[in-house]
Amino acid sequence: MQNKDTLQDKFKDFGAQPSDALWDSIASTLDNKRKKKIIWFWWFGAVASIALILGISFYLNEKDTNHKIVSNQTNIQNESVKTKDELDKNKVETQIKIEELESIEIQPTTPSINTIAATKKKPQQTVITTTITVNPKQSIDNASVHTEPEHIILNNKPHQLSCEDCNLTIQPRPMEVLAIALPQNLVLNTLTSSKQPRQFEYSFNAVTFFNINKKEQDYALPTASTNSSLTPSIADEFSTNESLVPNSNLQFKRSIPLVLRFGVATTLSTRFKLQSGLDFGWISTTPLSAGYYYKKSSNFTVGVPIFIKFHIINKRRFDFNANLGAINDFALLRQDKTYIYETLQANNFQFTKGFLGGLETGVSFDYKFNENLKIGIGTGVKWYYYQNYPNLSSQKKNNTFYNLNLGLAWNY
Amino acid sequence: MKACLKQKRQAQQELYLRFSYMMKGVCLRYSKNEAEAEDLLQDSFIKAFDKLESFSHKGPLGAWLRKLTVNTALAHYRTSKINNQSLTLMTDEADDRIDAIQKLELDDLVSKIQQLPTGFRTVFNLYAIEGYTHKEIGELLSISNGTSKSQYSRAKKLLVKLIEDEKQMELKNLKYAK
Repeated sequence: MQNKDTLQDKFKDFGAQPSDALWDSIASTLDNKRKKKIIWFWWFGAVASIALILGISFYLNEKDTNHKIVSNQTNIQNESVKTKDELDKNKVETQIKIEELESIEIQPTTPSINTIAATKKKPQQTVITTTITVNPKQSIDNASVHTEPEHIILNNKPHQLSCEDCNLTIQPRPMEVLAIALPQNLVLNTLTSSKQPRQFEYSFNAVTFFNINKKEQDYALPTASTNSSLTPSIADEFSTNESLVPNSNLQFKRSIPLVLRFGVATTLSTRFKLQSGLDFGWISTTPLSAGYYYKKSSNFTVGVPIFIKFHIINKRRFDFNANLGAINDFALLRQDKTYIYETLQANNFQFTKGFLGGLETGVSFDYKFNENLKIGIGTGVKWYYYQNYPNLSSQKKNNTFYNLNLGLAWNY
Repeated sequence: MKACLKQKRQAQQELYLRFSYMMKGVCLRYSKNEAEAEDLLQDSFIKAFDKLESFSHKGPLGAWLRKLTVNTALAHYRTSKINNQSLTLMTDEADDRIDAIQKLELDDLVSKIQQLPTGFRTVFNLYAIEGYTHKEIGELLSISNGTSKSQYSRAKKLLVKLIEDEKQMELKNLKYAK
């Protein structure tokens, strides 16, 4: 035991100097680990946000469809009676013109008349209901409906409409049904549904923004910290050189910022849409008068914008919109690249806690390739009203930006 | 410490400069050579920076880092799979020659320890220098008490042999020189 203790005492202060290169090796391993973590973080964030957007839209869509089925089923009898009464009351002589029908928006999710004809024997109440709830007063502007009893024309063939077909229980007298000569593939959605199904519009936009006054630094954006201290090794090496330590008056050149905006919009009414999503932003700054030593910093932000879009003009081929919304940008990550004599010395990432809140307004012009896909270009003004990113408290005056965006949008 | 927890590189470097000397000493004892010791030291520091938040501040940081270094060395030992040494039970006959080991200079002793097979070296370090009991060593290395004892005995015997061989070699060289 005594021998053991002696050996322990002997080794108590034993040590050895590690090689000079070991710390560099450890630092680079730590950097690599951090980069992997950061990459993982961004991928996870992107995937999670997409999943969240899709999940919410599926949920809402599902809820809306279920609601529609239930309401249609419960309304079958009431609607049919109502239709008949209204027809009696108004004495409307209606005849739907094919030209007018062709101009009606075709909704991809609604079954065509062919589908209805093919499935008329099946107990799909919602489909049959759709044909029954044709209500000229509700759905078709300037349309005239010619009434003929007890049959409907499907695929240019008269079809007897029975209770088995439409699940109606009206017995007292033969029902007066609309005679509709519809072209093949015509979709009845706009004719029939009293409530528009919830539509989701997904979009992807690339946005850049700039400040009119280029002489001043854009302090409203998260910028490179100018007072970070040098690592001892760099400081020792260059302690005798001038222009080594950046001073607080150093001016910065800003790169063209880029924001990738993934959005999802839902229809509030025929004119209004509510849009949200995620903004992934990037901007970098470089000192204008870099000495031997300088740092190039890039900032990465994640934002959650919320917009109201108003359709000023809504034509078949194009839309002209105005939008107003709030932007909430979180400055989460900063990358500092340290250069000495233009040679990269270090590349460090660090998590940051910054928030920038503001308002954005603008206009956009959308060209529709078809009913589901459109390309848009827009411009606007962005105004930051609050920011707590480090060292920016005294620089809030210059916080208005003009933006330009280009993107694609598609309906689901 | 707080800056290290925030992964500030400069603070990490300060911690490295403060404790690397001591930790390198531990690593040297558990490795075959200098290169392996440096690998072990690097792994230990990376593990330390990763797990620094689990340091409870109940004891000195140096002791925590020392233990972490030993554990890293043991993890290396487990993965190296060279622990299939002979399990023959040995008598403790080498105990009376432990003086020979203690008389050695530290650097020489470490170089001798490095020449031991991995299993012997690990048990010797844990028992003779770190102060673990054979029971604890058995749990750490997933071996029996008996195996730990035998490995320690063989390690000592081998160390003494290495020292004596070196002495004889020096005497021979001296004769040739005369």
